[in-house]
Amino acid sequence: MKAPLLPLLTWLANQGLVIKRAHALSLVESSLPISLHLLMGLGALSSCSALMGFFIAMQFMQYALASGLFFGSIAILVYHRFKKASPLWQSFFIQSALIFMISAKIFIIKGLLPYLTPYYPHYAITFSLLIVSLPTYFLFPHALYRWLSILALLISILYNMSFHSVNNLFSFIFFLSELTLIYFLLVGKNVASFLKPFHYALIVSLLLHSLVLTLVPITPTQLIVPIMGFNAALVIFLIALFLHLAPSPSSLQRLDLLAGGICLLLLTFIATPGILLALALLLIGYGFHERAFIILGVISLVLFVGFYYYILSVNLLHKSIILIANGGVLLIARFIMHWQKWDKKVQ
Amino acid sequence: MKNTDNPISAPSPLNRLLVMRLYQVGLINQLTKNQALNWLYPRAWRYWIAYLLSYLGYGLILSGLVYFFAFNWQYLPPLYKLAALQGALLISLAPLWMRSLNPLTGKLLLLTASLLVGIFLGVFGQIYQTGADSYQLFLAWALLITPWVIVSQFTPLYFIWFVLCNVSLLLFWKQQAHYSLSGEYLILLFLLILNGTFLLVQEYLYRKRQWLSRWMRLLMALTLLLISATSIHLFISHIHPVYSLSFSALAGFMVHGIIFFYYRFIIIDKWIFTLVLVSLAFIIEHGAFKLLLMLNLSHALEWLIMTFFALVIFAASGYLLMKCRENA
Repeated sequence: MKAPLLPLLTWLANQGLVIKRAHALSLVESSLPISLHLLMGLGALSSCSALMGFFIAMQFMQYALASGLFFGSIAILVYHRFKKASPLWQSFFIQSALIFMISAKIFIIKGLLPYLTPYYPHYAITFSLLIVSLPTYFLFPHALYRWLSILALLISILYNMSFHSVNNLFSFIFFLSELTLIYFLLVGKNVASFLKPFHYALIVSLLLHSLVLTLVPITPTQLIVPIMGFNAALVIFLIALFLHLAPSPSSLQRLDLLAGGICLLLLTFIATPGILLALALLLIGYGFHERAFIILGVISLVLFVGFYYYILSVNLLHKSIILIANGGVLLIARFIMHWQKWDKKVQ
Repeated sequence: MKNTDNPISAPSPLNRLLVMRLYQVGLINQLTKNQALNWLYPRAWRYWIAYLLSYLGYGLILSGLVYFFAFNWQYLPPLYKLAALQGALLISLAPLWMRSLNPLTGKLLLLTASLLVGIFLGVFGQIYQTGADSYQLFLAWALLITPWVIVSQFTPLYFIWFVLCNVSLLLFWKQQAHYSLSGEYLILLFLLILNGTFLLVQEYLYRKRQWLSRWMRLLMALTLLLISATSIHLFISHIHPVYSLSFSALAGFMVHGIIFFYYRFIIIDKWIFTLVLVSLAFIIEHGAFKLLLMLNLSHALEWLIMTFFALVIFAASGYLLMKCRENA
């Protein structure tokens, strides 16, 4: 394990990006493979589920708030006690603490609801999630917990925006805020790693937001911002990402820019937000070395093309023409690349 | 795509994880992380864009064709529908005849042609109202594209074929097989035999000719484990299991044993070994829970015993996986 790290550390030192070598090597030596983490995680899930069954059988749910605070404290203590244990025990106890913390959170939210519901009937869950998520994001610094915690909060906000708002203006503002935050978290130079779970949660929430927009006829809100507005925001996001990632934007020729511009303009008018977001995910995944986003992008592309089938406002004939036209435009762009010998290395 | 000129890329696939770990513990910042990853895995943007445009272009056109024929346009005479599909099929196949399968475009065209065969069969059934069961459509589709699947050695095409075969068998069982009530679970046994044969052939060809990717092996092993685990869990859940379920569960246990042994001692595959360990752990837990229920203890005591039992089972699985890792 040590061997592959040494050249990387040397390279970092040569680049003037010196880091603590001894610390880095000790960290790598103590790391476990993902397969073992997965196994331990499932073990923790299984044993903690049984433990929750025990607590429920003992009727602890009657004192949800007190029980939640008690279990949450135990989870935090276990996390900090075992975070430096030997790798196998560390993996098991940290993941047990995670499951315990999630259960504690459910208990606390259940305990808070009776106090908040009379004042904020629609937003009680969102406020409860906010009250629990903010302090525990720092008290329980487990990446998966942070991701789940923020994702639950964002989903709750999205639900409120989609089903409890008179029109979709706030939904649009929320959408723009998510896009802006994602962009700055991606391109920022000194973004701390503790913000990564927040970043990933934002991306998944944006994906769910696009899904709601695809199925927009089922939501009761009035559409004062057309879907094309959301598409335009996504196209601007795509252009900004591409310009950031392109090795040297000045090397792009007029024809490339024209072809790219026409493709994106067409997509603004005819694509759904989901398809555009899937493209953005593919771009993020490739450009920022995030394999998970490439997989997520491919899956969401297939799903959104599938969902497109069920949009009732357009008939299947029109949908098929739009899809074939989209595909044709992309293949023409591919042909232009081939003609300009851009893809010489490939062939 | 990995940088083959630098020494770091050769020995370990964990390089990406190493960089991410350095970032996670705050030893390097985001910019350095991105630079290190770019150095390890240089981005070939032109290649990637060409690749993306090809896949997306073909994918969208194919989806459009599926939507078009699903619309069943009344104004388009049946002859035109069939002619259009056959024309599209010829257009997909003509470049292959003139050139070869080797570039990605060639394989994508063959994938397109394979999907067009399915659409053609669907439209044919729609026009002539053949009244055929749907399993016949999927089976005919799978059989017709079999030579292309073998020739192309293209994982996405093989995946489609694999799904078609399983769907055909399932639909056949539902629509045509006249089984007695006690024989209803034999489908699990047949699915195990079908998928077991696929995995066996894949392993043989992979060793001989590097047939298909490692992902396909993982997917097939996962399918096999899921089917066998289902039969075993059903067996445990039933108070008086019928003979077909007992046979399927027995076959399921054998499959678990073979996979455990093969991927632990013959070819070490840590991911498949992890999957089989997880599956076995849940099966043992389920069996233990069933035994506890039969003892008529209080609910609280049952859950408490299960908590400790789960700890022991997964700790033992972790130990086995660590041993496997040391021997690898």
